[in-house]
Amino acid sequence: KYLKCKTITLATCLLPQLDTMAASLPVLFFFLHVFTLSAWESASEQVLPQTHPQVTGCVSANMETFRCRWNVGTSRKLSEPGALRLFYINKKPPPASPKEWSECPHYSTDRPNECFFNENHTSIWTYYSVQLRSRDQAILYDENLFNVHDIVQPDPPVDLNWELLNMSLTGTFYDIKVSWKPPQSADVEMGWMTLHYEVQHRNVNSELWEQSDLVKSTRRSIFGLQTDVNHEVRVRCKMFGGKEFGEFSDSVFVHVPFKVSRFPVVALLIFGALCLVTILMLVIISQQEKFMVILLPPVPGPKIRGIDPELLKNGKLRELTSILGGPLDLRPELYNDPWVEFIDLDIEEQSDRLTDLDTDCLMERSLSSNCSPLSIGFRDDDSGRASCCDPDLPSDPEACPFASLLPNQTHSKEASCPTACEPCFAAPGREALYTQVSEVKSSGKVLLAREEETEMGKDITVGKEKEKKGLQLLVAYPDHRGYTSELNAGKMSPILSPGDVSETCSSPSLSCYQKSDTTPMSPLSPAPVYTVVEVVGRQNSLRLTPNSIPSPQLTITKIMPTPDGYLAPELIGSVTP
Amino acid sequence: CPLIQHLHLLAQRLFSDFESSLQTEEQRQLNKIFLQDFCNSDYIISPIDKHETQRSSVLKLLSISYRLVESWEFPSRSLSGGSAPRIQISPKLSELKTGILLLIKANQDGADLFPDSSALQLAPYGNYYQSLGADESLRRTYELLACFKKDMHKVETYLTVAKCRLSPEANCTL
Repeated sequence: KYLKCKTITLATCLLPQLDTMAASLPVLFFFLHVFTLSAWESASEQVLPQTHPQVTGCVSANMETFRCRWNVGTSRKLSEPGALRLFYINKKPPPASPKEWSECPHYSTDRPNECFFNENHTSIWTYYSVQLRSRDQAILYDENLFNVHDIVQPDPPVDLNWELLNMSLTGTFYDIKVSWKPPQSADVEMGWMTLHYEVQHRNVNSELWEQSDLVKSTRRSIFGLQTDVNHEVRVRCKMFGGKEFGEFSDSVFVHVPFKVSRFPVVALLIFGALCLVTILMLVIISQQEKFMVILLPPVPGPKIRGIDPELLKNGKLRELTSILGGPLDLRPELYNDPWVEFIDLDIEEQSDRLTDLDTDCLMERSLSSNCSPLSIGFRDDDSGRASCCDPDLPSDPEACPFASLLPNQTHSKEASCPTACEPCFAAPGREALYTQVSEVKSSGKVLLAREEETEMGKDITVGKEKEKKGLQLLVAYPDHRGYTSELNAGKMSPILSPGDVSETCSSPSLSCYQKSDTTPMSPLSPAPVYTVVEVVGRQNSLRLTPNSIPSPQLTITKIMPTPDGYLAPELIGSVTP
Repeated sequence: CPLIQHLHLLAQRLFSDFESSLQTEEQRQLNKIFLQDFCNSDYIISPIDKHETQRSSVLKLLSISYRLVESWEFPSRSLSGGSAPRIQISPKLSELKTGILLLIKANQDGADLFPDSSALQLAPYGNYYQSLGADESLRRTYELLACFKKDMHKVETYLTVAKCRLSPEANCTL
């Protein structure tokens, strides 16, 4: 390969001279000589690898001058000064383009194998061709082509120094700002060269350099350096758009000792955090319940009013269905529930009706004109009453054994009621007494079944018979015209117990009504009829609420203060405001 | 004047873009062709070293830059970047040209802008690159890119020199 290369280069060199035939013979001779020389050289230096001289590179530091260097290779003969020569050609613009080769304008004196091109011989943006030839220009060793603007490698920046920017709280890290100056050779002021810099730093102990991005300014900050560690910083630059960087500047060493801050910041922070945690814990512990509620809100269990959740749990379905299946009006829990609102209706014609009833009373015996006969139960004074099941009663606490049950005794009108009367049909109060009517006699007496015995049976009736004496009940129904018409089928005059008659009749009590045609007679139906005992009189007389019998002709719009307060749908239609 | 900086950045960007794309072309052998061939803009006489540039007036530098950019407006459309991403060069050149023109007008002191009126000179070189060997597309591309890069660097340098001279506060010393 070496020989081949040599012959080719030799041929190109010799081409211009071929036209002179006169020199052809010496040329041939020379050619042979060269061949033998090269062969000899190759033979003699077979031990060492053959390296021929080559141009190592041409470099410009300031885009004004440049220099080319070469090495001599392994040949000892070529090491002599002058053994190698450099020629160049500069392809300037067409107007002035010398096409001849010129020798190096100045061989460097300070170092061998270098050619320096000064400003006069340097032109930018033009092509240069440089050739390394032997002394006699017979051998072309190497050639190089370039543009000067492509071979720019600036000198390293100068005056590199640093200053401390700030330090971390803990004193373990710090930031510095590094600054430098551009190389003097590069004319940056004029704008001839635009330089970009790269900063590198490392821990002196490590081999890895950390480098920054290219910056245009001559300052750069480095963050996060460790104290008590030796750092090394260096800078290099390159021309904008250039390929190669210049050499690195001299390194500068940075060292900041670790200073224990007087204020133990770390300890303070830890202490503060612990305090905060303690306070939080205290707060949480003291407000545990609240937090528990917030964090884990109690899940409400299934609840149906009036039904014991235990029934639901244990599957006591029979009781459950009995409760649920029972008539609405017999549910005591609803009476007691303040959330259950009963509809109270204002009866405007109350006075009219009252007068009607008054006549009845008057017919019999109205000794107590003050007593409004229909005051009981007809007065629409729901203010202050919790539920409709609290009828207005003539307030006579002494006369009424059940006065205590009355929630409202403020009816002054009734105060004048004679004591003999039994006006104190105390309402069962909030407590409604439920029992089953086992039998209604023709006399108007109602036999109630015992609480435990819900079945109608002869044994019950027998039992009731026994208690007849003690339990002479007079069923008194308020005057419901519609109602009475229905019940007048078996109209009978009530036979009151002797003891009661006089008393009862003398009082504008409901027993009077009993004497009137309002004889109730409910047929003894096989099915137990439930109704609510509204008032229990002194003489064990009961007033039952007739709400179980819907009557469309009820003039009293005020449905009897039904204990449950519900208007059955069929009753609504009968309501006349 | 921020326009200078914009143009400068533009020139620099174009320059570096094609500098990298030129490297992808590689093949140092192609350097030799430039001994025989020319760049399209060789007819435009421009200072080729620092001293000449220093001696030239700002206006001259600007006008030369303008002509250089103008000369590349048409051929830049056929520039291929090889593996480099395609960048719209021609409109950027137009932008640059407009900016330089504005600068010229701003600095004009009544002197004739183009004293040598080199408009005629464009004609014979108008399709210079088309006259090259069409079959050697690689060589042609390399030529184009090398010449473009060189000219862009030239323009950038001229503009920078002009900028530093025009506005002393342009911190050229940084």
